[in-house]
Formats: sequence, C-alpha cells, structure tokens
Amino acid sequence: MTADLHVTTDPVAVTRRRLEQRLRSLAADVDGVTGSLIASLDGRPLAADFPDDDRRQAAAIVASSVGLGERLAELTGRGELREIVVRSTTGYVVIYAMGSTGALIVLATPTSNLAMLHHKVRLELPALQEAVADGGLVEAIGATAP
Amino acid sequence: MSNRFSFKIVVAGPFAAGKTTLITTVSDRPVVGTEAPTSGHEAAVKATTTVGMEYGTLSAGDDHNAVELDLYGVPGQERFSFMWDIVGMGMDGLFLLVNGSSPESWTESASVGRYFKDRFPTPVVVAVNRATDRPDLVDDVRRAIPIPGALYLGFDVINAEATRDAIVELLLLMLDELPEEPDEQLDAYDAAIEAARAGEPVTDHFMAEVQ
Repeated sequence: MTADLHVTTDPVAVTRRRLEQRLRSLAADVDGVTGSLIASLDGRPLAADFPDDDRRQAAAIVASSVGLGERLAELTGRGELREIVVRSTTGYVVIYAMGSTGALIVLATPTSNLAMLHHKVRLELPALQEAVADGGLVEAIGATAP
Repeated sequence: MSNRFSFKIVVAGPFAAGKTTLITTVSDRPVVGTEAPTSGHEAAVKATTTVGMEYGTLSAGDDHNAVELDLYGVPGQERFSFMWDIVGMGMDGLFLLVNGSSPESWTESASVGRYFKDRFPTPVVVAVNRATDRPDLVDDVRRAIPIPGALYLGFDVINAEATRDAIVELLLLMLDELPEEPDEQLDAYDAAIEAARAGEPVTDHFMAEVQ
C-alpha cells in the first residue's frame, strides 16, 4: 500500500492501478464476484484484486489452463479459446482469454449470476486488453510486482 | 499373443534446458504442446515457453508386440510445479534434462530432480544437453546433481539418434524395475529396444526377432 506513494509517476504502476480499479468495480457491479486477476500468458500476475499470497500461483495455473484449453479447442476444431468455466461446490472460477495480452480470471460465489458476469466482462475485456498492451505491463514483468 | 509395454516418461528440467526440442525431435507423432510467449528477463533467453505440458510418443513394434513410450514434457519454472504434480502421476521414469552449457542452472536442475524423486520414486536418467563428447561435463553434473541410482549421460537434443539412445537408456532402467519377465517377453523387449534405438518403422525387423 505505501509503495504506491513512491511509484505513482511510474507509467506501469499507474496502468496497473487503473486496471485494478476496473477489477474492483467489476466486483462491485456483479453480485457474488469476490476477486479477479489478470495473468500474462506465461503465468505471471499483471494486475490483481486478489489475495496477495495466492496471486503468483493463480497466475501460473491460469496460464496452464489457457494453454491446455487452447489445445483442446484446437484439437476438437473449436477455433480460438474464449472462456473456461470452472464450477465447483462453493463457487465459480471463470477464465476469460485476452488474446496475446494474457487472461483474466474472476472468482464468483455459487449463487452469482453467471450470465450477468459474462455480459459485463465481455463488454469490459477489449478495454482491459488495450490497457495491458498499451501500459507495457508484460514488458515490465520482473521489474515490479503487483 | 500380444505383448504391449507402455511406459510414461516425464521430461523435466529448468527453463531453457531443451525439453520441448527433445520431445519434438524424437516424437513419432505431432507433439501436442502449450507454448506461450515469455515475459520479463526470460524473454531475453527465448521467445516462448511451455506453460502446460507437451505430449509426444515414441513407439516401436507392431500391433502384436510393441513398446510405447509416452513422453510428457512439463514447464521448467518452479511456479508451474503444480503441473509437475499433475503430470507426474503414474509416471514410470524421469528424464531429467540438464543444460550442459549453463552450470548456473544446475542447482535448479538438482531441485527439480529432487522434487520428482521425492514424490515419484522411478528410475532416472540425468541427460546433459549440449554435452556431446564431453565426459568431463557429465562428471561435473554427476557431482553437482547427485541422484542415487540415476544414470548420467551426455548428448545433444538436436541429434535425434543420440536422443533416442538416451531415452532407450531410461527404457532399460524401467524394464529392470518390472517384476517378472518371461523369456518370450524378454525377446520382445530386446527386439523393441533395438527398434527404438534404430528409430525406424520396425514391423518386419521386429516380427523376425520375435517369431
């Protein structure tokens, strides 16, 4: 938290903070959303509204899932991967592909409105994708961590 | 009478050891892979990296007598160790690939080797890549990465023949682990091993050996 005071002029940090604001407003807009994270395709966290301890591991798992999902879609002639929905006993994890910029995952409770979530996120996705690409977040990996 | 021996081999090792190249070099079917663009300092080393797994096969024999090796490549970076757990389930042998030209990566190679050895106690080949005709380098690796019972060898993954030979060494270790081996199975093994070594379609050769 205090680190933000020192990095506000860093364009990467500014982009990340804007992205994280968008992620937080997603949680505010859709009932039952409890967290979200944007990961690079090689499994590093880029921006997160997500528990600190789990970010690194979640980002890696997202990258593996997207990699495997893409292969499955390709193998079965389904074209490009868009989404992966994990429905478990106590909620959802939805992975939204963001092209070459990475992927977004959203955590939601079992009673949340998945259709509403899809609607909101699909609308938001191009802007998130553009912000990640223009903000140079992938290039900055290793220099700073979210 | 049909003899079909199937083994699951996991190809592991740190980032940029050469795992993807190895599987692509020896697989007799198109490799199913999960390559993604690298980021940060890893992007300076190479453009893409495995994030999920790779799957290829190396087969010898025919419908009646065959050795089938399923080759699974895993991501090298420790952040993907959950894939090591997933892919490691049911494995029969570990092919630990070490980058011979990067001694600074050997500590990590050792910890990858330990990770698998602790969870999946199978035969191990420690194969030193970029080490053709470099027994000195293989000795260095043996000292730096001591794995009890492991077989150490030097080769280069871009050489398909040497790579197949290295995998056959692991096949031999895995066969040693099998409980009972009736004589006719031993003959079938021998033929299949020869065929795998030769890396050629082997139906005729193989049947001649077995019949």
